[in-house]
Amino acid sequence: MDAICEKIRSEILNISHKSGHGHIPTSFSIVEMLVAVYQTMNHDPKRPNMPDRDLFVLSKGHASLGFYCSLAAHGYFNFEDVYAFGAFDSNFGCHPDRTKVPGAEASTGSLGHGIGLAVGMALGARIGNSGKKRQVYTLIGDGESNEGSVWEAIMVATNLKLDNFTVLYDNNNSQGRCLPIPNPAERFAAFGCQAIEVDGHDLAAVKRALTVSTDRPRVVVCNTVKGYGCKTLSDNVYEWHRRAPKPDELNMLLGELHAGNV
Amino acid sequence: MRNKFAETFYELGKVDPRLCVVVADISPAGSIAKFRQEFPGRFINTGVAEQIMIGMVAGMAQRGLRPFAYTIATFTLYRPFEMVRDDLCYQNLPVTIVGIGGGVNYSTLGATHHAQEDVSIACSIPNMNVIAPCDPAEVEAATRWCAQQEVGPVYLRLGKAGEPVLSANATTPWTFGKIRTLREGRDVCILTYGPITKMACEVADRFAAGGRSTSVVSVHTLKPLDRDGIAEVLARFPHVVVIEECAPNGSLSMRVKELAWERRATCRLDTFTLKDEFIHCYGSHEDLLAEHGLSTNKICVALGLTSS
Repeated sequence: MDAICEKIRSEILNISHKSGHGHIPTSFSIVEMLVAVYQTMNHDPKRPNMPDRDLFVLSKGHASLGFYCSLAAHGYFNFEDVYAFGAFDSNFGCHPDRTKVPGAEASTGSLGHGIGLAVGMALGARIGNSGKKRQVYTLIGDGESNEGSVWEAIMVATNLKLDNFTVLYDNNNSQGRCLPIPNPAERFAAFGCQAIEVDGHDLAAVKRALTVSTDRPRVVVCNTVKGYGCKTLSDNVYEWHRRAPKPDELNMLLGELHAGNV
Repeated sequence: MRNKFAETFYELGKVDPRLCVVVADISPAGSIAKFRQEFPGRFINTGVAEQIMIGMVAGMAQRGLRPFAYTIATFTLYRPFEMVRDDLCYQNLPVTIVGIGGGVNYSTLGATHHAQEDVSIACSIPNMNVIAPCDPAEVEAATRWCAQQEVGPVYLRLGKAGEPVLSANATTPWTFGKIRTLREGRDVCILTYGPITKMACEVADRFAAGGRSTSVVSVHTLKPLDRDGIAEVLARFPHVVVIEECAPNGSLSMRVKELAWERRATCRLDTFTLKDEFIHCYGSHEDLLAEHGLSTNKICVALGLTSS
């Protein structure tokens, strides 16, 4: 595991323990995807509203803790700022609020929304194009993709040939228990997207997929594991879906993480 | 109203490159068709997909554009309600949702196409602004305001076609958030908005024929409501009547009654709304309104004026 990803995961555990909140397994599954985006996109953490920045929208907003820790790892703020996660006067809620979090382009939480906003942003970047092609990235979950709105957004994005629009699809088997979406890459390709399937925990592979040139919307299907990095989490995803570790559990999970036994 | 909106939008869009229109399976006609032809990049048809229509106008507004989402009133609010609430209102973005055929205007299409609760629903969402012009002239003024406003999301409720100009003798220009007197009177004041203003004017004529001088006031902005303006009406007139094409719950009528209680108004207050019912009939717009209890004669009878 790359050092930055291990650091983000350890902070997710620490903050969840301290605050008593957080969806840890789903935050763990997207760490490499987030790092890949922030290591690829045009952004400046010291100027989060930089006019010509690329945009990222976390559509599966309940993975906010992973998002905040990734922003912190890339210099938007300190990890310590996030320790008040979920507290009354904190900027860091259990779903992101764009009016409070530097780097959050949309306030999300209800599933199936961020992708539509991102389609509008990609089109807006094209209509208001000042010469530079601005990229828009959104990260959606496989469970979220049970929502029909996701597929409405994909159909419109392909119809508009939004070649500056990238979806990162967190294929972490969230919906295996109820409404699975088999062969997602084939489905997105059938809808007219450029679909690329990668190991979502291979940072270099995700980054390569994000830079493949395309003339249409791109979907990077990232095959991931909920709770990746801690066997206790990945083996017990339902129990840990929304649960903060107690002190002894924190030490155990940090031990598993740092042992690198995934 | 529909044509006046399209004409106005086209004129504004020619000079403001931020203006875009996103429709959901609406066949563009008239000036909207001209806009599409001249500015194809700023006309987007999502197909029968209202959730993405609303989601994407939110994203576009966030990137500095001034998009209008445009379709039949029911489909602007009901189908994509959570997108309206979360993507537009929660993010507080300057987008105009244009609902065509508000109320029971789509009279032959059954209740699936009756936007009888649209005003109540839109007014109930934080940050949402709600405008329902009374005639084509107010549509033009409201559209111009919507195109340049930075306030936040707007639900612009329009009729369809054939509405007469009723505001030619208004005492003041159209101003967002302010009631507007269309005709002056002393004894009775009718508060109304939208295409049913025509009926309100006919009721005012009946009052006048009976010797009671009657004001007609366009409450074109339902949110934010001009509470001070309405309170002044309640204090000034001995008899106030509300006539509106909206279901009773969350209606202007309900809010005027609330205000009357708060301000200890002593006037007589009569209100006329759509029923809290689905109407299983077809026919003309007037037929549907009448089935809901809203016709000039029915209102006059209820008010003790000349019977039909």
